[in-house]
Amino acid sequence: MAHEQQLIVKRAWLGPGGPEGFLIVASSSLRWQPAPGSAQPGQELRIPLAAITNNQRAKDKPLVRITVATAQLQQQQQQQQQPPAGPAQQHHVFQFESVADRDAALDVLTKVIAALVSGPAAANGSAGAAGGKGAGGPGDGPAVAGGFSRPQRQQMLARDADLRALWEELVGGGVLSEADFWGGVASRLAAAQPAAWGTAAGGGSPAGSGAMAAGGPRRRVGLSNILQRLEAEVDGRHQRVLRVSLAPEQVAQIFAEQPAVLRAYREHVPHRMSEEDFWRRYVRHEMHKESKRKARAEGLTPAAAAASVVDDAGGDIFREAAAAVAAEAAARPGAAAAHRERVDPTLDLMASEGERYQGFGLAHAATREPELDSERHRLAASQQHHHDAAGLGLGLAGLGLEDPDDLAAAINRHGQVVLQGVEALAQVEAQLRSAPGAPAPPGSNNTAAAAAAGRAGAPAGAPGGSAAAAAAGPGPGSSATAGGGEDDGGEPHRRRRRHSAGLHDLQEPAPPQLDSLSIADPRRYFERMKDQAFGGPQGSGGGGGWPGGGGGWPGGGLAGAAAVLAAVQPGCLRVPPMDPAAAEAALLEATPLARALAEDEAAGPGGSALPRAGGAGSRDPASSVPPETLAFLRRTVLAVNEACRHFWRSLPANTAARREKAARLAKLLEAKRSEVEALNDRARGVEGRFIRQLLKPPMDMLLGALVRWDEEVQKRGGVPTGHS
Amino acid sequence: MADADGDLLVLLLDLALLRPDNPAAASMGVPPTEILAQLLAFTNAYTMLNSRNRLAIFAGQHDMCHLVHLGLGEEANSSTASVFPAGCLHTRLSELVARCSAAAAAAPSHAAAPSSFALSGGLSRALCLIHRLQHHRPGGGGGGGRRGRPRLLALVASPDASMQYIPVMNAIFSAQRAEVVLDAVVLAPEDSSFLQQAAHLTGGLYFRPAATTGLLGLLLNYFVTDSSTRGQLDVSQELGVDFRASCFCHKYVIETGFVCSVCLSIFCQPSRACSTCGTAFTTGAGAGAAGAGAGAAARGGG
Repeated sequence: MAHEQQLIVKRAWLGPGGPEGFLIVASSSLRWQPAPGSAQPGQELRIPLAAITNNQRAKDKPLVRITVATAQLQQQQQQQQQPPAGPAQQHHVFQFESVADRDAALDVLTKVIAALVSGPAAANGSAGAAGGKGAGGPGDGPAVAGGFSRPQRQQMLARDADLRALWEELVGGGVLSEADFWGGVASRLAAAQPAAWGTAAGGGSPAGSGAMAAGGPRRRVGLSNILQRLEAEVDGRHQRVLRVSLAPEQVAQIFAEQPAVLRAYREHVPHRMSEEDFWRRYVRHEMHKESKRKARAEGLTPAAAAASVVDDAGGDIFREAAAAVAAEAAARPGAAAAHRERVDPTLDLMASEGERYQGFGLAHAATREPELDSERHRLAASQQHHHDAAGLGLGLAGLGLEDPDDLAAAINRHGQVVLQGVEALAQVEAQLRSAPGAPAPPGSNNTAAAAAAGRAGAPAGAPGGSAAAAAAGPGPGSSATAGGGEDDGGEPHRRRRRHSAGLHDLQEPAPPQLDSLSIADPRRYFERMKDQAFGGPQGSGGGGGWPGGGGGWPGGGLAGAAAVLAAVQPGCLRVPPMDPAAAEAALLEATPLARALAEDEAAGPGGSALPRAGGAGSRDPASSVPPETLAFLRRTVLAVNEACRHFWRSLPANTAARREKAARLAKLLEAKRSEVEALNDRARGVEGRFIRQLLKPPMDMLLGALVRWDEEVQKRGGVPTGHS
Repeated sequence: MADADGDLLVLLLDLALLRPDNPAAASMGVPPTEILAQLLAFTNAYTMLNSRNRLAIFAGQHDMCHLVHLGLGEEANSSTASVFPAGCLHTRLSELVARCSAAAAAAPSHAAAPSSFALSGGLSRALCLIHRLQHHRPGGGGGGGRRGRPRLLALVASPDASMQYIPVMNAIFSAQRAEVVLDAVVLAPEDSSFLQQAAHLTGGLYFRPAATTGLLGLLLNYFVTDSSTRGQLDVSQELGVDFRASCFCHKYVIETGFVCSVCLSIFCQPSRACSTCGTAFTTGAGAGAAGAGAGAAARGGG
C-alpha cells in the first residue's frame, strides 16, 4: 500500500457540511484524508478500488455517492485485522469544490477501476512505473498513463497507424516517457474533442472517441460570463422557482436604463447586503411590479389582486431610491430636457458608404426595398428604348429612388422628430414641401456623401443613388435633380415623400395599393449595367471612360489627375469581374507551384495532367506524389509537430529533468531537420515544389525550436546534461 | 495570419499613375480611373481583412511626397474614421492634387517637370512612420513577439532618377536593417533597378506586370496578406536583378568604375580626390579600373 501511486488529489468534504479534507484517487484505492487544520476533525477513510461497485454524480451539484460492496470491504478489512462494517452496502458521499473537480476525479477513478478489471495483475505489478522510460512494446508500460488505461492505449495504437508511428518514434526511441506521450495525447484530445487529433485519422472510425466514450471526460466549454446566478425566486402565484442569470452586459444595461437601481446598488452593496441578495431583491421587485400590472390588466378585484401579486419583501430599497431620484429630478427642472438635448440622434453615415457599391450593393438595397426594385426595373425597361444613360439618373432622381444612405438619413430625421417633438415634424414637412429634391435636414451629417456629390458636380444630398452618380460622371449629370418630379403627384410622389421623410411610422399607414408585377428581364438590366461600365468612351456620361492619351480629359498633368479622381466615386467603386486570363497571369506571376502545374498541363497529354475545361480547375498536385511518399511526409510532419510541442513544454529547462528531456527532443529535431532537408533536396519538378511547399511549416517549426535550444544552451552555459 | 497584432502596410503611390498624360499610361492599356478604382478596392480589402490592420498611404510626384491616409485599425480611438479607407483616401488625394495644381499655377516654371518620383523622400518618410508606429502602439506593448514584419509597397509609374541613387540605396539599407519588407509594383515600360534591388535585399516582391488589367488580382494575391502568411504561401521570384550602381559624380549607371577605398564612393572616371570624403588619391600606380565594389588605390585616409 505504501508504494501505491497517487493519481489525482481534490479537495472534498465528507458529506455535505461534513469535515473538510482531500480525496485521493490512487492506483489501488480511494482515500479521503481530513485536512490538517479542519474545524471538524474526521477519520481517514480508505476504500479499495475493487470494493467500489457504483458511483453516482449529483446533477449540477459537486456531489458524488460512492457505493461500496461490504463483502469485499470486509474481506480487505479482515486481511488487515480490522472489525467488520455493519450493513451490506455502504455509501459515502463526498462534496467537491466544483462540479469540474468532481468530474475530473471520477474520470480518473473510473479509468483506474476499468484498468483493474481488465488486468488486475498487470495493474498491481506496474502501477508505480508511470513516468518511467518507454517500454519495449505497447503492451508494457504503466497501468495508467495520461489518464488512459493500458487496454485503452493498446486499442488506440491498434486503430491509429499515425499514432502508432508517433509512439514508436518518440516513446520507442526513448525520447519521451509513456506518461509524457499519453499526457500530450490526452491534452490534445481534451482540447479538440470530438474531432480527436490523430486518433480519428487512421482507422476511419474515431478510435479516441471509442476509447474515451466509457469514461467520457467531459469537455469544458470555456468560461461562463454569468455574473450572478439567482435561484429560488418564488413566484407567488404559481409557486414556481425562477432562475435568473445576469451577465455583466445585462447589469450595465439595467443600470443605464434605471438610475434608481444604480442608486440603490451604490447605497447598499456591499456594505449592507451581498450582491446576490441585491439582485434577488431586484428580481422579486420586478416580478412584483409585473404581477401588479397583470392584475390591473385582468381587472381583478382588490382582494384577488392582493392575493395574486408577488410579495415585494425587500423592494423598499428600490422604492426609496426611485423616490430620491425623482426628487432630485424635480429639484432640477429642465435637467431631463438638457439630457435629451445632449443625445445626438443622428447616425454616422460614413459607415454606410460601403452600401453604395454597385452590383451587390444595389442588389442588397433592392432586397430591402422590393417596391423600389420593381420601380427600378420598370424604369430600366422604359429607358431601354431611349438609350439615354443620363436620363436614367434623371428618372431615378425624379422617382425618388434614394440610395441606401437615404435610409440612414430618414432614421436621423425620425430621431430628430422623436426628440424635438412636433415642431421638428413641421419643420421637416416644410423642408420637403419647399425643396423636395434635396438638401438633407439639419442633423444629417452626411458629409462624405455631400462631398462626393459636390465633387461629381451634383448638389449635396441629391437623391439619385449610385447608379445615377456613376452614370453622371464628372460634368454632366449635375442636372439630374432638376427633373424633380415634385409635381408628378400620385403614388410615386407619395412614396417618395414617405421614404424621404422617414416618418411613415409616425403617420397613418397608407392604404395598400398593389401594383401589378412588372419585372423586366433581369438579364437586360445587368447587360445594360455592363454596357455602362465598359462602354464609357461612347457613353454620354463617360465617367469611367478613358479617351486614350488624355485627349478627352480637361487637361494633362495634374488637371488630368484631378479629373481622374473626380471620375471615381470611392463609395461606389466599379470593380468589374476580372478577365480570367489577366487573373491567371497575375496569379502565376510569382507562384512557382501553380506555374509549374500550368506548364505541365500545357505540355500536353504526355504528362499525367487532366484536361482543363475552359481554363478552369487544375489537378491536385498530391495526386502524382507516390502514396508512400505522402505517408512518409505525413509521419514526418506529425512527429515534428509532436516533438516540438513537447520541446516547448520543457522550456525553460531550469531543472535537470527538463534539460534532459529538452536535449533528447532537440536531438530528435536535429535528425528530423536532416530528413526534411533531404526531402527538400530530393524533390524535383511539380511534385518537388508541392513537397517543398508542404514542408515549409514543419521546417519553420524545426528551425524555431533549434534556434531556441541554441539560446538555451548558451544561457545555461554549454551543453546541458544528456545532450550528446 | 498575425491576427492578434494585425499587419502594418505603408503604400507609396506615384501620382503619375493617375495622370492621363503619363507616357507610360498609353503602354499600359488601362485607364487611370481603373487603376485608381483597383487601388481603392485593394485598400478596402486590406482594411477589412483584419480590424487591427494598419494602413498608411503616401502619395507624391517628382518634388514631394505627402502622407494622405493613416488608418490605425481598431486600436485607434477614433470614432470618425470610416471602416473603408477609400473615401478618406480619395478625398485627401483630391485635396493634394488640387494643392499641387495651385502651387504649380502660382509658380510656373518654363522647364517641364521631370518625369520621376521622389522615391528617396517617400521611402525615408515611410520608414520613419513605420519606426514610429512600431514603437508607439496605441494598445501598448513595444511590438514584442510580433509575427509579421512591416511592409512598404511602392506603386510607381515613373522611371528611376539616377540622381536619387545614394539616398534611395541608403533608405533600402535602412529598411533591410529595420526588417521592413519592400515590395514594388512598377507600372512603367522599363524595370526599376532601385526597386528591384530593394525587393531583393529586403525579401520583398517586385512586379512589373505586362498589363494592368490584372492589377487588383496582383495586389490581392500577393500584397493583402502579412509577411508571415506570405512566408507560408507558394511565392517566390527568380528575378534578374540589375545590380549596377550609379556613379557618384555624374549619376551614370555603370558596370565598371572606381571606388574610394575609404568611403566606398563610386566614380565613373579616375579623379585626384574623392568628392565625397576628400581623400586624395595617388596618381598612376594606385588608381585603376575595377568592378564596382573592388577597391581602387587611395593614399592616406587612415
